[in-house]
Amino acid sequence: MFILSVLKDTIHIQPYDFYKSKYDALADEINRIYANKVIQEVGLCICLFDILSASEEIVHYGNGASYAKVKFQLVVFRPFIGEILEGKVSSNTPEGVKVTLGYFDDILIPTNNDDGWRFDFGSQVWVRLWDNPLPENLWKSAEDKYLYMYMDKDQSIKFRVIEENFTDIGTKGPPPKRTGAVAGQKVPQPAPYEIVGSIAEVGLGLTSWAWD
Amino acid sequence: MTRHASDLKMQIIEKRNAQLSNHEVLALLRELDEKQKEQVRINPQIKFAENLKTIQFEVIQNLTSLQSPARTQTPEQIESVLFELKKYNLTKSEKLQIINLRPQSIAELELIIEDCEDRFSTETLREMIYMIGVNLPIPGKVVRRLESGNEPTEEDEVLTFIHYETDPKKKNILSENVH
Repeated sequence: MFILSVLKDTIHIQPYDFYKSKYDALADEINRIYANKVIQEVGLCICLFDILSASEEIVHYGNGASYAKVKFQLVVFRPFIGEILEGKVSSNTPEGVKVTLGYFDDILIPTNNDDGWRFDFGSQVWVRLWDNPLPENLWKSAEDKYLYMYMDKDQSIKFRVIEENFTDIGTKGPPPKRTGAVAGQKVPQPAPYEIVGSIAEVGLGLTSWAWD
Repeated sequence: MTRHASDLKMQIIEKRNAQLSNHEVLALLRELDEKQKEQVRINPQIKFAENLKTIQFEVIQNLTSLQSPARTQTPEQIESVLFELKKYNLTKSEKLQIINLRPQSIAELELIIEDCEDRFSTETLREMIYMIGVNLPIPGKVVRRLESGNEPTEEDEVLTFIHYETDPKKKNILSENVH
């Protein structure tokens, strides 16, 4: 699920952070800028792993902050295509089943690309159909042709990553430098990083399912 | 002295430099947590970036949930299972997923290993499951070697792992790569 990515960036250290050791000041600033942010084509950044190199700091005229060119490694959430992940069902939408990992919730299991899905209007959830291994003569009704897996909210679900989509939704500019707080996004937009999953294999789907 | 605009922009040097197992990330975040607690002890007024605290908390929560194998793994177990897995010539991603998912059945292995039926016999897969169960134990769970069918007999080995130390302070769970 997690990888290390190597990035290079110009890191500013504010004067009030000059008391910190160079490593700590740069590390704190890198974490402040990158933690919980999606970098296009890289993934969701978690935190700094290590600083590989940093240039000498230069103080710019007119601004008390020092600048250093830093090369560093970040821990990034980026599952590979084909990876098996486990999350929780967060909601059922017209497009399919949304799954969340807690720290990442732009995961969709689409239901319109194969015939193995039905929507249950009573409980407003998607239902995955599995062939009933029981022989036909033991069926009590036509319904018994299938076994029904209901995508109930908060159920644990195992899925395979089949696709990933990066959408560059642009930035609002560099984060404000004075405080550690960063403005969240309030307007609904396409997710900058989205994972498409599938449960169309034996062994996937709800973890509570008895596969016998 | 003017700087070239491109000098100041963020550059991606390597998108995927290495892969980390879930337990390594958990250990790293716990270490970061300890470091922050120490900083607060020295300076109670200190404030940490909200986005950092949020992602730390949420990832730790996810990796320490009851179903997460990373919750109780140690570097020694990882090393031990990787050593045992050497003879099967698995790919890096297959080994990583075995560590992250801790498969307990052949069906689970088949999801992780590509062309599983072509590469390994059912007997070999049973060996693999047993070996994974022994090297990556689930606290309290009994590991049985399935010699024939699914019913354990008196000849089968039974191992029970009753008590397992999960307190990070009492065990050295840091990998060598972590600063």
